[in-house]
Amino acid sequence: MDGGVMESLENKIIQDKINTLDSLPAGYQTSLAGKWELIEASLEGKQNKRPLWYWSSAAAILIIAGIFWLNLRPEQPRNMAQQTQKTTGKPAVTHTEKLYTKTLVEKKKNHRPKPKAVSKKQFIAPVADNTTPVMVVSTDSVVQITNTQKKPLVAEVRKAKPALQVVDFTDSIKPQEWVAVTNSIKPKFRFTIGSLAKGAKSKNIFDSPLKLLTNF
Amino acid sequence: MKYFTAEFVKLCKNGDRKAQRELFETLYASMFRISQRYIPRHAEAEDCTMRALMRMFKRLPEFKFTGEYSLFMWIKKMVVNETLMELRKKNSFYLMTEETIAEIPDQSDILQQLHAEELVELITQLPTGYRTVLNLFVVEGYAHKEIAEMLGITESTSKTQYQKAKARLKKMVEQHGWRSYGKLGE
Repeated sequence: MDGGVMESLENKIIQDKINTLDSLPAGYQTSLAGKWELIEASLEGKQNKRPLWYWSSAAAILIIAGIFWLNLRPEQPRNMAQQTQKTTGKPAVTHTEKLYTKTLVEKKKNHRPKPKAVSKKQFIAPVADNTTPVMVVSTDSVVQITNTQKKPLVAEVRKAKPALQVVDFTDSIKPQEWVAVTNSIKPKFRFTIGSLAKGAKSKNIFDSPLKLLTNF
Repeated sequence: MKYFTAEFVKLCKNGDRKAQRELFETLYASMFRISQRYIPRHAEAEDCTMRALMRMFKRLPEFKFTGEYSLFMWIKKMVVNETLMELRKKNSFYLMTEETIAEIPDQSDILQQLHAEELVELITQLPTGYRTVLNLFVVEGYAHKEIAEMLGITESTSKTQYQKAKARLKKMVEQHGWRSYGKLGE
């Protein structure tokens, strides 16, 4: 018989014999149920993966919600003041408005030089007494206050509770952080300075929704 | 060789866990056998088989049914590829060059009398390079050109390796005690 044909015949025999093996070898024991569980777990894991569009949609919703919230923000000071009144029982809004107007009039009388531009999110308020705790009502992220030396101080308003805000100037009294004083900013926020603190000898004496952590 | 109907394949593709489990249980032994022909150690062959089957189930939606045996062949190819990858990863794939090819007479009668288990046992005793090429050419039916591409060798190297593997296998068959039977069959 031709060598090539013989070789093909041998190969065919080998192939056929090997392909008949469709059972596990003797002595080899395994748990197919356990192995299937592994495969099933890997398949479930794949199914649980969120597709890209899912996360994209979630991100879009968050962005839209954020923009919507930012648009509503200017109305918050009034609500905050009303909330303050409810919490403390003190006339927060009207009293604050009066004080603010008064403060602006006093500022105009002082004829300060025109300062450099400051962020609209900063507010300047004179403090009458160097030792009196200052009450500040603001929902904004930054509050700027001047002390008796007319040195402006800037601090971030840290929200502690919905009705309580803590203004901490402790770490903010640094010359490089001083900003120019201006009275050109419109009353975007309402706040109370000094008035509720009249007669007070120490800070945080009031049952107020707002606390100032530094005396001036 | 296992075959599967189009309906069954469709169920598996659509994520029917019951059908997928049936497919797994039906195929596992055959796929393990394939892997074991390349990697004789049970634990490693088992790992390869499981990895290939996991990959197969994940890629099952991509499978296109073209006939009764198409799914089996598709899975078999994955197992072979996974096994070759494992061999490459462990650098256990090497080719023998020092051996000369001896003329060994026809052994088709002897092979005919060999039990499949004995034949596999002999094949797994071959050096890795011989075993791989022999399996790919004789059992899987790949051409030498395809084998050369799969293993990153030349076509002529694949042919030489096959011839040497075959010669070694015949020699082993003889040593296995079948020579006398072969002579009787002449």
